[in-house]
Amino acid sequence: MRYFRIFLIHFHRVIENRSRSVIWTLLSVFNPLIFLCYWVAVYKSSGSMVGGWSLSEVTSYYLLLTFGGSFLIAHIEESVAIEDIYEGGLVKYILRPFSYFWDLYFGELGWRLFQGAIGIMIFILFSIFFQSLTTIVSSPLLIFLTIISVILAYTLSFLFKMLLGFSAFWLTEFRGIQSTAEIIILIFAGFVVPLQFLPSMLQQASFILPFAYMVYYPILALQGKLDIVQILRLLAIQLLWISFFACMYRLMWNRGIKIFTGVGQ
Amino acid sequence: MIKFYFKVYKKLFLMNLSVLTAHRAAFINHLVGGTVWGIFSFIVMLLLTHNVQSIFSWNKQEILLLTGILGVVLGLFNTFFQANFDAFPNLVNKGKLDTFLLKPMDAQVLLTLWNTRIISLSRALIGLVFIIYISINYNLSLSLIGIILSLPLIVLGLGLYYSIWLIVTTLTIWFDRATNIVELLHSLQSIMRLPPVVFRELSFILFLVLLPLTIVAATPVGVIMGRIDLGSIALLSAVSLLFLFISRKFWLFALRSYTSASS
Repeated sequence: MRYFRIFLIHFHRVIENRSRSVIWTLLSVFNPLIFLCYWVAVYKSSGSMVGGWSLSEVTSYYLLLTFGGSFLIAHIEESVAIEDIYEGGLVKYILRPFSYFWDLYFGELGWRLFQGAIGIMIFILFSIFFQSLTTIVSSPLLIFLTIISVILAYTLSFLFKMLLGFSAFWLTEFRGIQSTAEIIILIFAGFVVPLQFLPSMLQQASFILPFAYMVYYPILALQGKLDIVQILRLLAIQLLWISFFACMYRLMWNRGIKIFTGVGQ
Repeated sequence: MIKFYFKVYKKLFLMNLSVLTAHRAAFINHLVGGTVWGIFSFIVMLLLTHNVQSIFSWNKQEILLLTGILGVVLGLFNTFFQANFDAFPNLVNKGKLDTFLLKPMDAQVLLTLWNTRIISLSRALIGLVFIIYISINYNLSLSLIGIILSLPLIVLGLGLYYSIWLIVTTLTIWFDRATNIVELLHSLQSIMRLPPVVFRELSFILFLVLLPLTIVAATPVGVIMGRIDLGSIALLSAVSLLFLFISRKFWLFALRSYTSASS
């Protein structure tokens, strides 16, 4: 119950800053739409399938990516590294009678839900105008499993971003690693092209890395491109990665907090 | 008059250079960040064209060359103007524009040339390296005359891009809280990476709206490839000069509404 209250407090802040949220969502919508323009032109020009995908599948993919970009990817790493670790803001969390992790988890969830809702509205708007070009999961069981995979995907991305932020315990310059991680996510989570369009070597690497399970596969599930067995397999892999990152989180937190000096407080 | 402006710019340039050498950690950080993102923009186009041989009249080599030329244009823009436009909304928001308006120089010139991010030249350099890479790997025959002829077009493209930034950032004089408008402008770069034909085939209205952005780098690419289309050259020249004129008039008009922070 107290975490729900924390969520509500943070959500109140999200509503206060709704105009900023709308602009950030528009920014996350912008790139997938430009890529979509590119692919529509490619399909119109070639008149055939590309990488085994039809035009409607590609259209659905990029439209759902607008939701993926705004809901599934947490943007917590910068505030953890800079505000909490470099500037010492972590001190106030340590003194509170509840977990730092869950406080940030539910705080970020408010932003993701609000921006994700705008992403969904954009998808619905496009679906109305381009009905024949959008496909989405329809079976109730698959919808249920897909929702679970979406929640796990958010958790996975949140944990990864927390670990990225924790690197500031040891690194004096965080921006370099942040930029590199951002680029890796953009490529291997499927933000640039669907992973099936990648060269085979990159494709294989993407299946080993955790990023595809944060965005790419949950979007395929939303599109209805995965059957029950594939979704169950996706859930199992997501749980495995979450367990691994949770162990890493504990390890980094325990070690990092010992060298944290609270400079700036 | 021009001599005086050159003298001031030389002073500013040297000042920026000494700032760069004074903060070495920031220098390395910017160098790494700029290089990583510069390389990423080329990786994106290589991935997008991996399964594609052509889009209407544009073949794969031309699309990749467009990315390379754009890398050079953006590298130059980032070096000479970007830092100033990035700072502009905050200067207006905090009423610090007065500092520029009170100096005995043209405020637009001073404001848009104050900071030089010399390190961003690395991005232009990466663009050149990418052009060499694709010309070797994709058997692209680049004519020397085409390259020489494309240089003034690149300058015109740079002028056009500058005008777009000036027009949009000037809006913050009325909407002073819209400081993140800069982020929106940064995302426009992805439109410039695509050939104009992409938008023309989708919707003519969309094509017309995005035209100023899509011709910035696309016109020099045509010339480098040996397709000297006088219509495209005239279009870029006309649009660029028109936008420079409009942006100047718009800036002067907007200054009348500037109230500073305490007013």
